[in-house]
Amino acid sequence: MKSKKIGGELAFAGSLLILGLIVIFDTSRMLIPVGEETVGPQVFPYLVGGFLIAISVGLFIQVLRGNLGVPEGTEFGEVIDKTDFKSLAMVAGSMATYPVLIERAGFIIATTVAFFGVSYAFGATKLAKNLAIALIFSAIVYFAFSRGLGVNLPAGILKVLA
Amino acid sequence: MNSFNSLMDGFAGALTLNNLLFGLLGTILGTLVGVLPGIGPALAIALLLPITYTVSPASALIMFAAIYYGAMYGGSTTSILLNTPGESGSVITALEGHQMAKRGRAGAALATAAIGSFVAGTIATGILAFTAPSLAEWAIRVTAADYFALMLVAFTTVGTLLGNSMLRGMASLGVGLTIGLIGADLQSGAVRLTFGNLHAIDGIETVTVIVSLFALGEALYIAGRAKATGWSVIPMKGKAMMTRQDLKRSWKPWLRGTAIGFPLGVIPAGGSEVPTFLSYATEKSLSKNKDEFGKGAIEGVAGPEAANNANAAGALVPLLALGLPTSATAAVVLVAFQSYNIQTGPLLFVTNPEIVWTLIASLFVGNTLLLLLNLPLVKVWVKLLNIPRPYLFSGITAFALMGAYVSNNATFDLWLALGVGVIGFAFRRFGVPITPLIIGLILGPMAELQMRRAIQISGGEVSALWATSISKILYLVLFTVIVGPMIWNFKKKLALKK
Repeated sequence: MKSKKIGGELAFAGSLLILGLIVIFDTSRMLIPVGEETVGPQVFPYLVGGFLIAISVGLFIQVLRGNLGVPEGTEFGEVIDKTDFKSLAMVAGSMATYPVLIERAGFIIATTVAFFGVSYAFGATKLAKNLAIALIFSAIVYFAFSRGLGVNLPAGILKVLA
Repeated sequence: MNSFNSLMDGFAGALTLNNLLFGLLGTILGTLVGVLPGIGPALAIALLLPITYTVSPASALIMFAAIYYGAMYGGSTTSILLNTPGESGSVITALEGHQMAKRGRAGAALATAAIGSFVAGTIATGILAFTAPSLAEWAIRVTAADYFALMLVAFTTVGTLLGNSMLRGMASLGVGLTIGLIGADLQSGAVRLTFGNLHAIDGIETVTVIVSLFALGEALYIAGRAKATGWSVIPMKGKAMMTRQDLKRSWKPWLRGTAIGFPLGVIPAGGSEVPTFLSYATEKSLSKNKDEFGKGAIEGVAGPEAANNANAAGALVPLLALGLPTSATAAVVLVAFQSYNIQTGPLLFVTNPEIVWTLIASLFVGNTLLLLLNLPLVKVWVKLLNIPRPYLFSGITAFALMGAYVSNNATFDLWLALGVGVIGFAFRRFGVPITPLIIGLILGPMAELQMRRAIQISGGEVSALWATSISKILYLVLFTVIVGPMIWNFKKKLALKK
């Protein structure tokens, strides 16, 4: 069980390392506009990339010595040891419908779908009630922000109806 | 004297009907997000940033400041009645406050928290009004090299003091600095880390990052890593009031809390955790009723709550005088200034005096409104906790997605938001604090600018970065902040081995 925990930690440190390498690689092949600058646009990114790599090395050492991160507590309940991938995927999936739908179907539909999905994943299993709340919420937000505050929200296919 | 006159002008600005309404709206929203778990003031202000397109700068900033203060009042309410601090500065309050509530003294705990917050907030805002202008006056002479050093100090303190691992804080900072690099470099026009994406050339929208880190990251984390346990609100009997005895035990902790909280807000000490904890420790060691601590000592509520509010006012000093945010919320307020093209920094008091003074005056007004709003209406706020959790989360998620979309009306920002949400999940999972990322993202580009400016002025001498006396002092501070805790830990380990 312990080794499994370390796996995640190592992956985290590893992604920092990769991020640092990407920054340095991108900086090295940067196209620099001709100018007479003493400190060009490459210095700071090199420093940041180096910093990331140094931190990731430090984290690797820390993790291998058994010094693991303490998962953050939450205001909503107890933190569990194992990730619940099913509900995680449901919430992430619901969020991902939003960019797909917002411009094609419009704000109200996109928000209703995302709202419905997230609350379902969090345990609102009465489908009709959930859907009704999602729809009412989306409509209120849409009219409050687009009519009330003048924020530009896409009407989408419901524009035809209205 | 000059400050005093300007402040009076500020009151004239803050007390117009329009601004008063925005202040009232801010205090209500602030208390709301303070009470509701999962939303903090930084997220609330970030979500409301789109209003900067339509509302005047003074009104919007008054509302944001009211949210900032209001969230702290609301946070203490849930700490006391629910033992779930709605906000990080209220964690300590829960220790004694919740015990008091269990013993049927919820009213006294709420009263000392609210009145203490009011007293501390008012004193601290007063100090703010008289110190910030002189700091700004002094800071006009601060050179680019000094600024760069100051930002390095801010990076380090925010990175090391938050969370329980310095390396993890620094990792968070590094990711923030990296996100800040993305896009066209302002000075040379060179394009960095965009990988051919046209949307990314304009840089990454700060609001999108903040909103997704807090809201989407939290929703994903709760979904994946938490088991819901029920909330049990302790029913409150009677009114939120203190007895004479309570007042006698509270007023000294209020003042001490203010004295601890304010200076720790001014220096970049990374938010309200440190001052509230210090205040708690102080009250515990000074108290005559030590055995009461842990069972509901009123001093343990009064001190930290005062420290928390004084800290928030203190954090506005570097923000207004230097343009340097020291907490996530202050960073978001800085973004609000930027979206109005108001240049923050020492010249702010010269270029936009009416806005700054109206803002400062509105803090006094907001504090008074909060006291009036919170004590009698406490039961109304607690009712909010009856919103079923699934809907609370989907509401937060929906607002966050909308916030990410409306800043540019681009789906690119939404995909980015999802990516940042995953980072937020990973950070929580691996105990990496989030605030350093935000500070790095916002201050990183400013730090780079100052560094390049300093070296360019000197004609390419890198040593120009530490040539001035201020920068030398700051690097000494930096050294102490990094090495100090290391020596401390080393000594502790030695002591343990023996």
